[in-house]
Amino acid sequence: MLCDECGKNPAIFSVTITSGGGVSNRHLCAECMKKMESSLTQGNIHSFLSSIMSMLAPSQAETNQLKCEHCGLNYSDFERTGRLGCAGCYQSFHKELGPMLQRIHGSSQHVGRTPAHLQQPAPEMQQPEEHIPTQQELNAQRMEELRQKMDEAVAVENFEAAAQYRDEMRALAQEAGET
Amino acid sequence: MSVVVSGRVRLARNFADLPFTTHGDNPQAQTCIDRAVDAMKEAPGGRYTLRLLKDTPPTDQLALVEQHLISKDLLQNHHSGAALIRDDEQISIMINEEDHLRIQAIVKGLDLKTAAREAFEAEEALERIHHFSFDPQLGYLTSCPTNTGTGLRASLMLHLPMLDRFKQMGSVNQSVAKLGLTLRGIYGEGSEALGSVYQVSNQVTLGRTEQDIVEAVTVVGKQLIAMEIKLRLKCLQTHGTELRDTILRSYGLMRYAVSMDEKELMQHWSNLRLGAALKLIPHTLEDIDKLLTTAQDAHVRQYMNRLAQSVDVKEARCLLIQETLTRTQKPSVSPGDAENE
Ligand SMILES: [Zn+2]
Ligand SMILES: [Zn+2]
Repeated sequence: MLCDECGKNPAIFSVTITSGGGVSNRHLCAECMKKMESSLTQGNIHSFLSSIMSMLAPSQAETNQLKCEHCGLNYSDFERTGRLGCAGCYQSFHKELGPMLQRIHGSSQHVGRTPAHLQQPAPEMQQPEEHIPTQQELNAQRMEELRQKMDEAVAVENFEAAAQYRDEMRALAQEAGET
Repeated sequence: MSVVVSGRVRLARNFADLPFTTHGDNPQAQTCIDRAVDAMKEAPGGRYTLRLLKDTPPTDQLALVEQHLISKDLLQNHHSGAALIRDDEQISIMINEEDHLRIQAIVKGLDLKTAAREAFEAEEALERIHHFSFDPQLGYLTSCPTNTGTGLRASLMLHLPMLDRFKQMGSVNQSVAKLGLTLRGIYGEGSEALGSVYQVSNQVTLGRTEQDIVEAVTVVGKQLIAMEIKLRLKCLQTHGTELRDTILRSYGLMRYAVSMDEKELMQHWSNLRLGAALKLIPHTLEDIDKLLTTAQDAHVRQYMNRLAQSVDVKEARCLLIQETLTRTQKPSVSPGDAENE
């Protein structure tokens, strides 16, 4: 979704505007949000709006409590600065960031380059030597897949499926341990 | 070349084992610098020099910004910000900006593919020892979700005076936005685009391949160039006298003015560049493009410090411009001679 104000940047913020008797909702990009905030603090347009700003995300009260278990960043800090604390934040705030990424990029699936150490040479990079993955690598890959599926299942509150993935992961771990 | 000023490809990368960059002093910021320096010691394509912001005087820092070798944002991380700059200044690696690393390759013309190849070469050297944060679903993980995925920003700096003059930027902007790209002025505050210098770049970084992004920016860039050139030719036909008058008046001012601020510089620079493109003034595009950097404030201040006389920045700017124009004037043509080309 593009910004209602400038129409060129992706909208990240949702702003509720109360003016006169009506309430309207506008979606703004970071740039326009900044402009609006600064004009608000300067009192330029407060005759026309007193506004409540909130991220387009689950309810405020709920996300305010969120904290990244890896780096300790509060979700509300991210809302304020637009900056995450660590790579782990993407997991910790998975539920909030998923829809946001979808809104910014119109997608939530990476299709580009993969780092060299994770094999699969990127299309344009010429690395012809074929790597045959070892059983260990295959297991790790499968494990990662299962972990993701489990996370996804948890995210949509499908605990039954999540439990199944967890069991599969356990079995896989055991299997790997035996060989 | 008559429209494109430069092309750039930038990659945002973070080391997997370190938290993202935070403002102020912290031990991991030094780790990022050490790793980058180590990795680029034997990098392909040339020697790199490390510039630590804390050891760089403010004027020199701003001069690096004017050269687009570092960003304004990096200056905020005054204690820990650094840049590894390849000696040919085609590649710069910003360290401790918004992300641990911002790898940037610059090319003169439209050739973003070459820029991308160069950036990836540097990237591969950098990740040989320490891996980057990467998630199979989300791609390269960055400090701000707007860069997640490829972490790649491809951009073309374009000089679009005619699109400006004929008030086409609004409609162009809208159609560019529909393609997940953005077009904005790079000099001046807010909505003004001083000197009609614009940057077209991708907004979206997730869900598209690097090649697709580079291709999209190139295609849109080519379309803008075609539109601009068409308008230039049309304007030459319908308003030839007026156009020549505007350009050569600016040329006269640039050669003889005594004091000039940055805003006025940009206006005349734009006319000079158009003049060079239309071969109305005896200077190459390359020479005029250099002025875009060297006549900005910080560069003028550096120049001023070397001068024997004591003058202010606006006066020094005129001295610098006039020295440059005298030095680079092509002998064969005098101003306005080439009007029929
Ligand atoms: Zn906006
Ligand atoms: Zn975190």
